[in-house]
Amino acid sequence: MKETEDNLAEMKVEKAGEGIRVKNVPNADLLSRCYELGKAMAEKVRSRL
Amino acid sequence: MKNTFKAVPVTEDVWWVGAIDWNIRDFHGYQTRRGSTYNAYLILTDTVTLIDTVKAPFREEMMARIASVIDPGKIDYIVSNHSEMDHSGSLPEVIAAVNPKKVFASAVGAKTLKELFSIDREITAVKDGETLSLGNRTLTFLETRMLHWPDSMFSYLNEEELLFSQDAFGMHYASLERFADESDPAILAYEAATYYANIILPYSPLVLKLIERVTAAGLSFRTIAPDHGPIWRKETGGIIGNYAKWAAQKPEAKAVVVYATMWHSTEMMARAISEGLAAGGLHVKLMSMDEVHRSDVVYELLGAGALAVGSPTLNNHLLPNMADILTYLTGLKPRNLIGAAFGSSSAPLSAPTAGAGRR
Ligand SMILES: [Fe+2]
Ligand SMILES: [Fe+2]
Repeated sequence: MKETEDNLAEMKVEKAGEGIRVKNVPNADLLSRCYELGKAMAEKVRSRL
Repeated sequence: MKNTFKAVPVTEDVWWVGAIDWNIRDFHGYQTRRGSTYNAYLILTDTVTLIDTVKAPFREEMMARIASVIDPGKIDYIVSNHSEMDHSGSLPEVIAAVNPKKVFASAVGAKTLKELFSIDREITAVKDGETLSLGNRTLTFLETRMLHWPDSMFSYLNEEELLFSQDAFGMHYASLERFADESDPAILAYEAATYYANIILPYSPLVLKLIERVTAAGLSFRTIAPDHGPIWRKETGGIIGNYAKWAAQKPEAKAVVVYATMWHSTEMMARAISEGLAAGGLHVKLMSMDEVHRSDVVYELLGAGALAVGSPTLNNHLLPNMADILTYLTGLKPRNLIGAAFGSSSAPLSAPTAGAGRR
């Protein structure tokens, strides 16, 4: 995931939160963290419109 | 057999004499599903002038189109607005066949053409703002360095308010309709945006400066004649407005989630992030690199406000197709994005059912 984050940094992408990494299969808690990350990203975008 | 390749009139004095490449499907990593055209233009004035040429294998098609309106030996001047080989590949042979009085390019262009080809005659370097009399018509040269090569320049036919814009304002679209107003507007909108995203995007700050510059100079454009795709006439404000919009990269309520997956774990995460993005009020485009082309991702990113990127770990690195899209994207320099990274490592013992369609 570091490689992805390095590439995003090169594109000057502003992070909406910490990236999410899972070992093996994501459980319900992990998927709900993903969902919340998506929502946080959306809020940041909407604040810029 | 009689010549079936004809020149197409653009204005009273200007003719399209390019070539149609129906079959090209890759342009340096950009998937060109509708082929392309290499546009060259003939100005039939007191001093007969050819603007740009075509990719080497298409030289005969261009020469046939020229011959349909004038003996090619009567060409006095050749102007090379852009040295990239899709526009200059046939230049050495055309110079040899036509023996023009003069060949013009920007200072960098003159040097580049000499380096690319063994042209053993003088290429006259023109400066930004310099004019060239064609007898009853005048060309003005505008340097457009780094749009998209260091040599790039535009030529402007003053009396006709016609801009020869080389690669700018173009698109990869092979068709027998030579003008935008004869073409399907939905195809034009899609192909012009895809072309901008895949070629012009990294030079967006220069596009904004150029638009500012021509606006300040009060230049107006009755016709824009690019080196690829249809010619804009009657209405040229639309494509210029689109360039201003795309170059500004102002975020809109749209997100792109791009990922690849091995056993669907990263895919499940991508889908959960997408649901969250949509719940937050964004339009979401979820794109699997196992299924889509990199060119399509860049097209979707035009105007997006967010980008989430997911990859499983394979041998301590990204999946190869994710390295591909990230390399492509960093080079194209999209800006003003909110983002996040995600992914899984190690495979689950049993594959979940979500997205079971992966090839
Ligand atoms: Fe080019
Ligand atoms: Fe080109």
